Amino acid sequence: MSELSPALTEPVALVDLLDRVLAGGVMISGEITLSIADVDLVHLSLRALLASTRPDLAGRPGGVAPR
Amino acid sequence: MVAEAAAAWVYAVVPAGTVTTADAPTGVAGEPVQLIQAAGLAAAVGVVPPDHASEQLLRQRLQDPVWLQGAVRCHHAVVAALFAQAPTVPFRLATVYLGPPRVRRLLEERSAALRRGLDLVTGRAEWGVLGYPAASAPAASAPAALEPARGDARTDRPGTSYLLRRQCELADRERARAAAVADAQRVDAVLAPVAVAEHRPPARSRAAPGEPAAPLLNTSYLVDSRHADPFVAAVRRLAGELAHLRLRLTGPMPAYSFVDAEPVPA
Repeated sequence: MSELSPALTEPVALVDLLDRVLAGGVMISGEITLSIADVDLVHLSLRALLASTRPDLAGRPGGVAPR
Repeated sequence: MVAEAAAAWVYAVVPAGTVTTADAPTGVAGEPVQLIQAAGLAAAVGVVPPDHASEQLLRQRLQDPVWLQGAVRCHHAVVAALFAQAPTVPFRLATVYLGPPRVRRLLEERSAALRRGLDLVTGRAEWGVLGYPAASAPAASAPAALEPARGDARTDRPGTSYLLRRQCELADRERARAAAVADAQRVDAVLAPVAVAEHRPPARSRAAPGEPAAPLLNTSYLVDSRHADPFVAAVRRLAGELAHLRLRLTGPMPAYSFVDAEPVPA
């Protein structure tokens, strides 16, 4: 049913980076200027942007173009 | 003035002496990325203007999708450049400290925990597997099941005919979804044993832009590099076999999903 592109080394698509870069990773607090509480807000605004700039996702890596 | 300008945006931590940032992309503010070394560790940081370190201004920026998209890409590009050279503990976007000396102190105070993080990700990478319900799931049962009754229903009770047809459609959709869920379970049963760890972000009920639907399967796997080929081969095999799930594979990536947000000191 699926086809997987062999191009796994292409840049990671933005949609795949969202959860990882915004909600993953180390964030040792103390002198941090951003709190996790902002993440929902971040997702909302970014998804709104993505909706209007789909070409960004056209070259998604290692993936199947959804049809 | 100097102190005020010296906000340090941290991209990642690597073992000291393992990477060069000479060829690394510039950071989120267009700044060159540099290394701060302490306790056998090196933090890749960018000295960013104060407006990147003000909570209020940063909150405003986070609501600017254009800035945010660029920041996510820049941040990841720097982390990926390090990941290509050495074991890398990525830091979350917008982890900013009040100057390089604070970062040095952080490396010293949390060295044991950061080293544990490095141990976990050394020789390993994160792979993302998403599964979407296949677009054209066969839904043939409805017309066939209705055929014998159609004559009666159409002439005598068109409303009943409609309801029956509708019921069948819903049942088909439910069956297709159940089949896709079963496929997703199979994917995980096959892949989990090949991986060191797995992580599932909170389920999304709606599709992100660019996605065909909300994913039924969204799992990150931490995979040893020596098992990367078998892992990818297994995903490809599954992709060819599954009738109800369309798979998407992303990787290898830095292990964003497998490092503790706030690693506790030893």
